[in-house]
Amino acid sequence: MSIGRRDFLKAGAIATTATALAPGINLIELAAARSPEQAASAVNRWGLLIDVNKCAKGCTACVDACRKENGISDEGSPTTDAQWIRKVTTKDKATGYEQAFPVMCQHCEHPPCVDVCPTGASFKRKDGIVLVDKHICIGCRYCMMACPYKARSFIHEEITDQSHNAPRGKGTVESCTLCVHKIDRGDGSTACADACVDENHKAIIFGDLKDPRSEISRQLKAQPSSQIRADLNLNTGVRYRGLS
Amino acid sequence: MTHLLAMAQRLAGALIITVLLSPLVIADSSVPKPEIPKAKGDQCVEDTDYMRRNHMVTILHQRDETMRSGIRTKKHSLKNCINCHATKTESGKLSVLGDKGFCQSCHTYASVTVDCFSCHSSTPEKNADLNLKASKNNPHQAGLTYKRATDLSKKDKKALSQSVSVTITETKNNKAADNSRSGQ
Repeated sequence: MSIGRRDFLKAGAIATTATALAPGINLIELAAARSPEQAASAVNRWGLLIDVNKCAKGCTACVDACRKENGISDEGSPTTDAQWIRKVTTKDKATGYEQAFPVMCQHCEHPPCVDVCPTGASFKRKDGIVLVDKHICIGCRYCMMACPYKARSFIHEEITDQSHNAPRGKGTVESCTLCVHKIDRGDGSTACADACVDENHKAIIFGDLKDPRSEISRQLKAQPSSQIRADLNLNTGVRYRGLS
Repeated sequence: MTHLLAMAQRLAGALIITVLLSPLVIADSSVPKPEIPKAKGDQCVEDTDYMRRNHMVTILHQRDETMRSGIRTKKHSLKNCINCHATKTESGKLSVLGDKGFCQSCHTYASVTVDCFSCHSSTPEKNADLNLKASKNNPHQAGLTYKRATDLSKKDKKALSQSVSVTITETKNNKAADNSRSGQ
């Protein structure tokens, strides 16, 4: 493996960052910032940045990885089967220009699903992740109607062989959890973002929107990005780059 | 007053019936007590008596802590219960369910439905270590200390530098990523 001058310099810069960000602080400690007995706090706000131009047409690696990680199975009913993340294709009718990109729960700062939930099952965690507490969800599906992104699914069938990461069951609503189990474990990524890196597309960046040093914050600062239905003022945690 | 009297009469009646029928009930206790399978660990997270009476409260409390606040301590987690208490069922699968399973055998005896497993997995995690010893890779294990980068051994430093160079190789292959970065 030969390393060019540019890469050598980069390696040096990263290695320096790893050893000493500042006296007493370093990357290894930052990665394990929250201990299991510590509650999620508003110090962080987790989000995703999706680069539409890097998202490959026909590639469903993120969707497949999500299904595997969270144990989502087909119940033989395509119209109602759960989908936490889906590839959406848009077409400019005037020019015929097509774009395909993944859409999942946008983890809004002001989530309409939480506003309408009659039991408080739909809630936003302090670190910005929007979740369904299935223990108290009554399956009324108001949240599904309120969500402008069609991000939520209702489970119609009995579910067996659930993943240990994601308990799921009949009669409740569910959606993308931003791989909350991975965040709590300190993995620092989601299944979809990992899968996109594995495919070498790197279209999905996961990170902390409140940490100015995080990759996602630096990328958002460097180049323009947008929210889907920004007009609704929901301040989504999932941002898109190159969306036209 | 007549109302109170009628109530007292009814109560007395009920008492007499209970007293008369109680030998019958005792005589008819043909439901065998469940054989509770032994757990893998040496010691439960709480006393057995406490757990028999209060496990539902303990799990309920932990459920809200985990769901709402992301607190994932192992001690009272359902996963930890299952990892330790799952036994082989007739089909050969490890589970807390099944006629002789830890949860179901007792719940059937007490005639109480277990709701947990309509959503939660009833099988243990593959790499469950039962919290008996500190694992090197799991940051949730007690007793694990994090090293400062300056305290890293030569071997760890080498591993770190290798992981860095892998990241860079991938960046190199991706021209789009390279271009977007050079624009900063």
